[in-house]
Amino acid sequence: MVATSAFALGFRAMLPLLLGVAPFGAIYAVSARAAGMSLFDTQLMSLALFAGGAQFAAVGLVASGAGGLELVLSTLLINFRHLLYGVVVRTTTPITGVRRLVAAHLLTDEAFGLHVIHGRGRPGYLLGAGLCLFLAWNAATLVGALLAGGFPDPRRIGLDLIFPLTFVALAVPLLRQRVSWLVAVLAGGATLLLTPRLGSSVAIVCAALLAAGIGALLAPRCGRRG
Amino acid sequence: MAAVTYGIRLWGLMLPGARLTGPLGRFVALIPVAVFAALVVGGLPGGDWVDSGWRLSAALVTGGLVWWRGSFSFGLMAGLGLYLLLRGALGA
Repeated sequence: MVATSAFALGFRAMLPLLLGVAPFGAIYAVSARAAGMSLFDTQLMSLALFAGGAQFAAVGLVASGAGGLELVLSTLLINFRHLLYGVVVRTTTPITGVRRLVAAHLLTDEAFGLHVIHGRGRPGYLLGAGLCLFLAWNAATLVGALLAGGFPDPRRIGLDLIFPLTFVALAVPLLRQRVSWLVAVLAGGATLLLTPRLGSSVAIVCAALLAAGIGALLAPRCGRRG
Repeated sequence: MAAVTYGIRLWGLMLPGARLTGPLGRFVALIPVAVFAALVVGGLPGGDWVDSGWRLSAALVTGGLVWWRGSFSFGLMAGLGLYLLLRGALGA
């Protein structure tokens, strides 16, 4: 019996999440076309940027006539948490050379989440999960760009819930120690408080850093490492 | 924009491979659960209180099933299914 490779496992693990992610790729493309972007530019952004939140923000900024500096700064703010993802991956998984360069392009919320739970120590898992999402996102972008309208908004039919449910499912296996529960509650509470003031992207980063920092300090008192 | 995003992602991956210990090691180890919780709270609220209640119920079902059965896909689909059922039966 042939052992399933880590790459294949990661690829397969991403499949259930595509139901919630792929429609947004199409919606991004519809929005981009409506903002005046060409089919080529719309697709190129998904291929080269591959970051849903930043892509949606870019479309909004392009539509409002924003300049390059605004686009860059918004990208930095929205995607800053990906720096944390890279740090976590690097400390648990040996990944070097070309694989690291490829992984850097594929490191999304979903790929990181699956890797943390199921793929630690296996670079192939991260690459498989990331590639699955990359292919689906770009295929959905192409469909949306070609249809350019007449595509149902996944938020109206409730499919946007898959994103937070995904991270509920990914967080549960990590909640085995008191300090982890504490960190989760702190991060959630801080996100609620900070989002109205900072916007969701910045709030998430600030809340996560704050909660993880407090957890790191309190972990010895909780009796076990976080 | 693509260069900025790629640079951010690559920067974290370029760190030396040494295992972190002490408070810094604990901090890095706690980042995943912190980020996941923040992403959940950021994405869970719905259009109004009723919808948010349904979404919260779905999240509790997902979390409970993953905790009990250890099945990611089953928990995810069950939670989504409950939410869509509530929307369909009680009105969106």
